[in-house]
Amino acid sequence: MRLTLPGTPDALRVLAEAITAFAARRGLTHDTSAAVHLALEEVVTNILVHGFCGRPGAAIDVTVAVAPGEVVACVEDSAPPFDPRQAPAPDFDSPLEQRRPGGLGWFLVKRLMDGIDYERVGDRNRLTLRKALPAAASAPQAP
Amino acid sequence: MEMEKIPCTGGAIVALAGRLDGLTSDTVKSRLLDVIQGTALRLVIDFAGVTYISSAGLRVLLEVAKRVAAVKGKLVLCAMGRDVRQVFDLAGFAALMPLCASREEALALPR
Repeated sequence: MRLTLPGTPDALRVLAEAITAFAARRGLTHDTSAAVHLALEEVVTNILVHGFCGRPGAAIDVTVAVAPGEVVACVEDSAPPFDPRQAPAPDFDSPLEQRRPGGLGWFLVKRLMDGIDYERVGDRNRLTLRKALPAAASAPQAP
Repeated sequence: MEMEKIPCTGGAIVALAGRLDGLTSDTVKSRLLDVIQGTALRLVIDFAGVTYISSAGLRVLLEVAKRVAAVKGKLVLCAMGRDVRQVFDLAGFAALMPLCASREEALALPR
């Protein structure tokens, strides 16, 4: 599946509809589809909020494919270089009243996905997310 | 995102329905903070109708929890569906705020 999302909050609506349709077409389990959807939504939200600083930006290209044993999603944007592997971890240590917000989105992406790769290609960021398919999807379950 | 406020003894229940994501989080946050309005109330947020939560939604909960704690109120979440619960747990939020199975349980929780 290949998507061109607008560089505006509308991207989230377009993404949600496309992922739901893709998951149904390819027979993904609910959990796999939910994980890929949430991870992609976090990535796109970060591009809109931090990459484009909340202003309308250039289109964001998303591809999602089912490969043997995994779902591979790729996101390309033209925001300034950003390697999510260097994103700060959320503040889990401070008491609630003093906790700094932020970092939660990438934290979720890292917990939800089985692999994250980043490269800068020309003037674009390319992020690749991998989610392993559940073993039960390819083997019949024991009675 | 739909929000319904139901008064209860010592506070209010707010029932949310729909997606709690980057598109809806600002509205939900400002309406929940309106409900608190500096009073030491018991705020029960009913998640039964919430189908989706992202980190933007989790940040709303963090802000609301901070505000409720600042006025010495009590925040309880209840009736979270499986999908939302998974994200809530993944983010480690279960340690931050009480979560009950039902509204009744949430209202019965001591302050």
